[in-house]
Amino acid sequence: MSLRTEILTSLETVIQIPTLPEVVMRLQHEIESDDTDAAAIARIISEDPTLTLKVLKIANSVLYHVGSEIVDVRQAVTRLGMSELRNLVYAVSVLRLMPDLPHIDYKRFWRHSISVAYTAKSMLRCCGAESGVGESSVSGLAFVAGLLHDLGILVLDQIIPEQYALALNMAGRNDGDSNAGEAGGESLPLCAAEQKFLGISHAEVGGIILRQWGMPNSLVEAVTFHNDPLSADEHRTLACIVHIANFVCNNRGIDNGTSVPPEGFSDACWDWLGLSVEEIPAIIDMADQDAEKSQTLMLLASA
Amino acid sequence: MAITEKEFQLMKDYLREHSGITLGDGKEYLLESRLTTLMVQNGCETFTDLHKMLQAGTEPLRVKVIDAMTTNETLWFRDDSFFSVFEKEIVPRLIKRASMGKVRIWSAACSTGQEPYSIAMLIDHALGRSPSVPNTRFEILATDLSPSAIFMATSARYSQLALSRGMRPDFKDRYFNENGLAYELDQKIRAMVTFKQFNLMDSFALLGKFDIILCRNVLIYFSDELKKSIYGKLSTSLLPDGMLALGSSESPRGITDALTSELLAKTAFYRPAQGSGGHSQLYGQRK
Repeated sequence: MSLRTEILTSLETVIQIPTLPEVVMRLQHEIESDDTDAAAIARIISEDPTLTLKVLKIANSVLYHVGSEIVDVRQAVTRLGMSELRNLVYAVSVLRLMPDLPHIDYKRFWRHSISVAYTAKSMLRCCGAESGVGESSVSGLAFVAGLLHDLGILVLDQIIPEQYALALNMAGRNDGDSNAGEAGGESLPLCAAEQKFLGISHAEVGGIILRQWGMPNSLVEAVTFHNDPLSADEHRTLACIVHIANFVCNNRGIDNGTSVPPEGFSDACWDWLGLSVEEIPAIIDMADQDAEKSQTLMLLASA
Repeated sequence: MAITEKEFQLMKDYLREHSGITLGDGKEYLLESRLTTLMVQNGCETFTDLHKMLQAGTEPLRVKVIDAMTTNETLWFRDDSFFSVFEKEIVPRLIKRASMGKVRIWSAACSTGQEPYSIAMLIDHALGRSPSVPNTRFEILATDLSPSAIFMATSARYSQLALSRGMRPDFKDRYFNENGLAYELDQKIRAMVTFKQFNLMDSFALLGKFDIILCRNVLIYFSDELKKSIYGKLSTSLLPDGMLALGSSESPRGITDALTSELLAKTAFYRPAQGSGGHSQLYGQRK
């Protein structure tokens, strides 16, 4: 049996595959349904007291300038909006996933993912309208797509840690060691290294997991194609946003710590989003602010 | 992925025939480092597999291979001898001119910023010896077709690997600050360069005139007809005293008569054929 087949089989059968709390899944479905209301959303979140406490703490922090204190989830829904509250619930929930993996620097990994989430959302306002960024399947999910784009890395490190170490080494682990330059010269991009050693990439694995979780197709496609966004079909715009946001965060030094990040992004993807090079300084500023926000969010969520 | 001698020869011939790229001996590493990702993506175990696939004639693969071989060539002070002549012969003359007014320089295919920043550093370094001329007298326009390259260039953050490709140690110490795993270029140097997206096929009219244009190792991938048109546009974008620098293997001879060559310390530069008026105050007599 090829390693790829073996991995695909474990994804279907093994119970060790992590899952987001049920609350998050129900929240996602509730938001997508046509007849949702603030009370229903609040009820779902309130079922998880730890989550509720953290969400309220963050909602009242410097990250959201809400003025008077938000005292319950119902208020949080109306004051932050459903979409923003969902983002917050996701961010807090992912931080509980798989904290002890052999080859992953947990904090660095999630700081990168949360930064990509914020940057993906911030970038929406720089994109041309014709790219379809205004549609709710894009604007509503940019944050979550950015947050979960590297999920497959955690899963691979969990289910096949030994083989995965080989792929990570080939991708030139980015640990700042003085030989990284030389090693980097021969390194492969992470997805190519994974494809070579495992026959499957973290992007594809991430997509499979999200599909199993019953996540919307746009999210599945954005994660599956975040390194090759032009291969995405119906939801290319969301995949392109995650692709560029991922590059921007890496460029600002906020990488996931697993490999040497690619030196560039797909130009065709930039054009697809209707972005202009005149906006590069503004995008850089936004990403730097977003990196600060992600740091704050992690501190608040883990305290 | 490792390449054998025979495979290197096959690929070398293929690239020359299909793209005009000429690989010198000892450039095996270039093929290995640039094509491995593509090979993995296309299920090629060896360069022989890749060559077979290319021969079978799939157009998208050919384009991808050529792209991988040509884009984002990222060397600081690419071509030592050129930059040595630039530093010794051109920079002092530019500074002399800057004492009287603005000096405009255009890096016409700047990729991820190494060429324009190399020039900016050389000028700033030389200005240290002529403090009366501020570096704001120099306008360096840097253009490229690729938004990705312009993003990298604008951010001016380079990995240790990127800096190891040709950066002078004294300049690394003087002009770069270590920040996490990257090196950030000094704001003073960054401020000397303006980046814009530009296609060399388009009209140059809005760019204005330049004292120096660098268009090195770009046109080698173009047909003679296109080269002729671009050489013509470059010529009219030069000030009467202006000079064009091409790659060391490039020459407009036999393609256009819009440019005449001039040797400075054995390195060829090119001037507009008409209107230069023979004697040049900036660059002195023809050698």
